[in-house]
Parts: sequence; structure tokens; C-alpha cells
Amino acid sequence: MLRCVPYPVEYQRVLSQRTSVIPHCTVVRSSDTFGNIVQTGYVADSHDAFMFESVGTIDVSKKRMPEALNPLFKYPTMLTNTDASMLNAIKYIGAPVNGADEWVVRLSEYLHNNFVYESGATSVTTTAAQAFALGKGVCQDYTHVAIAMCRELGIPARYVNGFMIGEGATHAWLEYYDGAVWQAYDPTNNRVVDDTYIKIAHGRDFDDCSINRGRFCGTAQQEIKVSLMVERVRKMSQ
Amino acid sequence: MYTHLLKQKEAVNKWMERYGVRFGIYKNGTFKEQLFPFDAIPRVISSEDWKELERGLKQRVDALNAFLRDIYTDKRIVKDGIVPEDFVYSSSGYLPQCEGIIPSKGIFSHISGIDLVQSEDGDWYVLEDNLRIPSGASYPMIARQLTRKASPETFDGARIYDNRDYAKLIRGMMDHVNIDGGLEVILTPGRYNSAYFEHSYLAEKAGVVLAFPDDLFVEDNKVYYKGLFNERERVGVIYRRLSDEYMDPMTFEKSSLLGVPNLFQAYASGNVAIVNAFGNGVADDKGIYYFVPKMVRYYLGEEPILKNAPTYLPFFEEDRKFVLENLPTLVIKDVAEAGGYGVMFGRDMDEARLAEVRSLIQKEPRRWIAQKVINFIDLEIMEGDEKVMRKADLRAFVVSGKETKVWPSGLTRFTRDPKSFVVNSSQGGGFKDTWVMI
Repeated sequence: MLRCVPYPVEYQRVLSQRTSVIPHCTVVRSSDTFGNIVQTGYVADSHDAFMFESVGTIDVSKKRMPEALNPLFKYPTMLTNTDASMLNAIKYIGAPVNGADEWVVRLSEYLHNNFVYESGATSVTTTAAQAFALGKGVCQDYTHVAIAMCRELGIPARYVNGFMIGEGATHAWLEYYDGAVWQAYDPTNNRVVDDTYIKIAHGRDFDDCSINRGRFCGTAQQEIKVSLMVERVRKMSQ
Repeated sequence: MYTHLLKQKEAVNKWMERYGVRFGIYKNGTFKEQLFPFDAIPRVISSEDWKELERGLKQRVDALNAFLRDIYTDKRIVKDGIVPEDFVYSSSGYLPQCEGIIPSKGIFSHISGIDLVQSEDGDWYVLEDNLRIPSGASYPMIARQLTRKASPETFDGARIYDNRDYAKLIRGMMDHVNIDGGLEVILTPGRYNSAYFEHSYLAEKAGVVLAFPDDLFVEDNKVYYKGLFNERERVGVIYRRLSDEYMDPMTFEKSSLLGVPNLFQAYASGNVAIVNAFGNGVADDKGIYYFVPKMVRYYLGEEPILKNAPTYLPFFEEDRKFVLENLPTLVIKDVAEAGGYGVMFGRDMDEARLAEVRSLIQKEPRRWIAQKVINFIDLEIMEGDEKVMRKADLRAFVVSGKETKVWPSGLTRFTRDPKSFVVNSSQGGGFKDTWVMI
């Protein structure tokens, strides 16, 4: 199951996109409950490698439209739980005084100063509370911690998987609901998400939006290689 | 009425052993199989009692199906303030993946197992609704088959509903929801499931294929069965005996080796019917139970025929106060647990334990419900040559296909321990046949 096509939303206009898989099989395109585009397939014959490639051009704008809120994003999940020390951190950051936007900036600032980017310290199953206790992690952990804290304060938040110009791997950030619009913020880089980001999928947490999931039958050892390239083709007129 | 049958108890139990009528239990991480002891004294339900019970069960299951349809689409009952949002979104049985999906023929709970007890004054109380994979129908089915064989004279001319047609009810329902006239299968997780006997027995009796997870695969968003000679056949309906989280590792539990990859997408696209539907857990959550009588009024505009045990939700402040003050007289249940686990009786607790439970309730009020202990009637069972009285409940089975039908029988479970109030078969205990009189 693949989620490798940009999220269908008005600020992302896909000009071209093509997915290819080797070995060849029928690939069916549908969408999941969050509106993410998923592609599924089944290879019956034995094979020793499976490869997929997604190539395309996209026009991204910064403007985001108001949306209705799905209350689901108010509630914690296994990966976005909080614990006592996270509640203390929330106290330290202080309550929102001027709406969600201002608070998320302060939250991101706090994480920037108190959380260290380090790959290998955490895994895909690390929860927000575990990562927070370690004090380090990757973009997934930054995002889970930020989401957990937002939800704790009653700010609906969701996990976003995607790409960023110049990055060689997928990236993650959060979207929070400001009362009308889902705004995006990148706590790992402590900055606002702009048109250099391409959104692929969103969900309650990482588990809802993995780029690829699969299963094979057999006893072979497995290894995954990922490569990603995001380049600006040309600057669009504003 | 059944004197001759009582003498045949050993013979019936021996036959059951041969047929492999067993119940598996996981205790401390190891799988143990045990016989499910059969008591020959039947529970007899009079024709009059049954008519009332039947009406009540149909009504309840129809309301629960309406609730499930509503929750996964408009959520009118939440918007109208009858069920608080929290009880939906923080229920472990609520699956956001099911949003907007209407299953084949609009039915969510095809086979519902409603657990009831009868109070001393004759009223029936519902203790629990089971809308995921209620098991147990095969036991009274085979018990009837074997008791008829062991003691034909007992049944000769007796005005008892024949309960051996349960498989036909299931089959009729499966035919009704089947998509594109595909193959009909019962999906079992395998030999080491606690109810494996039931899976194989029902498949045999209903004339459908007993499939193991590896027999099924999804291609082009459709489900296929791989036959013995590697031929493929399109599957139209799956009566699965596997819980939601293990059904599809692509959508749910990643580590599941039991599931069928991409099955959920095939279901969501309307290419296969799943019995029972995904996401039913949101309606048989112990917290949601409190709202079922309200659902009956809300969706059907009728007064509920069956009673709920008096229940308090610590989530509501008023109820919380009552529960904290009256804890020793109440039974406390963890909403996330099933199978008789997570049930605590206030009267068995010392002061220290009461204080501990009170603080648990205050910390996570949404996690608990409290109920008054109902004095339900005891049933006679044979302990050696002696008749003794024991606590017993009844699991009634309601099958929703073209119409909602109640199976005129049910699984009567009893506790063997004279002091115990928990009759779940996961906790040991035996069963009886249930005779519904015509």
C-alpha cells in the first residue's frame, strides 16, 4: 500500500504524476478515510525485490482555505500521549494568550531549545512521551510531541507526511486548527510551512500516513532503500 | 420433562469430547484447551416469556444498527446531544477508517450476541451487547443434536423450537449481503483460536468454505480465495472470526500475520461484505451501553422493552458523586475489557482497595462504569448426583439479514463456583441448552 501522491487539496495543483512498480502488477488508486490517495497492489509471483517510483510536477501555493473540523483530531492516540513531564512543559510554555497561532510558535521555540535532533535515538514506534523523556529524536518525534501538547490544550492537531525542497528523505510536520483553517508548522526546523513543502498525507499520527506498507511471504532478509529529490522547476508568478 | 435425558449426561459429554467441543483459554501467556462442561438440565423459556424477549431483542439490535449507521455517517445522535462526543472518539472500538462507509445492505451488526439475566421478579435485564464476534451458538446447537440422539424420547412430541437451523439463519443472512454472488467463507484465525470448534462446525453446517488467512488475497481491489489446486474464486462475503485490528495489516495492526493485506480497501470500495462490519466496537463499548435505551427512543421512537442494569457513568459529575459514595454496593467495570475481565465488586473490597478504586475513578472517569448488582435468578445444575443452584446468564443470538430474526434458543452459561457472579466461559464454567417452548 503506497501513499506517494500529493494530498488532493486546492493549494496543491498536481501538473503531472506517475507511479511505477517493479515487478509489474495491477495498481488500484483509491483514498483512505483522511482523503489521502492510496495505491494498492498484489504480486503473486516470487520476486527478490520490490521497487516503486513516484515522479511528478506540482504547483504549490501558500493560501489555505477554511475547512470544517473533524473532532477526531482533538483526541490523543497511542503515539501522541502525554505524561506528567510533558504537562509540566506545557505549564512552562504558558497558556495561549492570543489564539493557537501564537502558541504553536512558542511551543516550537520551546522544542527548538529543549529537544535535540538525533537520528537513531528513536524508532517508528516511539511515542510522544517516550521521545520527550529522551529529549531527542527525528522529525516524526518532534511532530508527535507537538501534536500531543496541542491536543492537551484543546487545539486540534494532525500529523502530516511530506517532502521539503532540498531534503533527501520524507519529512513530517503538524497541522493545527486555528478555529477555521488548518495551519501548518514545522517544529523540527522551527519555522512556518510555506510553498517549499509538499504535503502527501495526514492523519492522527504517523501510523495513519506511512508512505509505504507491505507484507511478503518468505524467509528472506529485508532491506529498504529510499531516495528522494525535490527541486524547484521554476518560480511561479504570484 | 427431561428425567430420561439427565441420565444421559455422561454419554452426551463423551460425545462432545469426541467432536472436539472445547474452549481454549489463554492464561499467563499459554494456550490451554478445556472441555466446555455440559449440564443436561435445560433452561426452559416459556412461549409467553419468549415472545416478549424476542420483541425486545429485535428492537434493541435494530436500534444498535441504526446507531452504527449514524455514527459512521451524520452523527445526528451526537449533534443532538444524546451521546457525548467523547464516548465516540475515545472509544477503542471506534474506527475512523470506517467513516462514510455503508456496508452491503446497510447492515453493521449481522450477528449480535446479547447477554441477559432474568431477575427474581421475572424481568429480563441486558448486561452486555456483543456486536463484534459473539461466539457460542455452536454449543447449544451440538448439544441439541447430541441430546436428541441420546434421549429421543425426551423430544418426542415436545413443543420445543428446534434450534438446529441456526446455520440456515446465518446462511440466509450471508446470501442477503453477498456481493456479486461470490464465494461465501468463514474466516478463522486458525486452530489455536479459543472458538475454533465453532468456526469449523458452523462452516460445515452452513455449507460455506472454512478459510484460513493465507487462503485469501486481494487483487484489483477484490478478494479472492485460493483453492486447493491454486484456482482462484471471487469472494462475496466473509464471516470473519478475527477482530478488526488483525484483519488487514495495511490499515490496522502492522504486525498482524493473520490479516489479509488490502482487505479493508476492498471492503471500503464495496467489493466484499464483511460479517460483522468493521468498527462495531463503538456500539458495544461498556460506556455506550448506558445510552442504548436512549438509542431505542431516539431512532425508533419506541419505549425500550428490555431493561439495562441500573448503570452510572462517572463521566457525569452527578453519577460520579453517587458512585464514589456508594462504591461498596456497586460493581465496577473497565470499559475497555471484555470476557469477564476488569470486573470488580465493591462488596469484596477492603477499605484500602476501595480508596484505590475511588482514586482510579477520579483519575479516568471515562474508563469506568458502575452498576447495581442485580439479584438474578439461579438455575438448577447437577453437581454429581445432587441438584444445586448456580448463577447463570443467557446469550441470545440475533441475526440481521433481510429481516431481524432472533434465534429461538441461546447459550446459557453458568458458574460452577457457588460464590461467583461472573458467568463468562473465559472464566471457566459450563453451559446448558436453552429450550424455547412453542
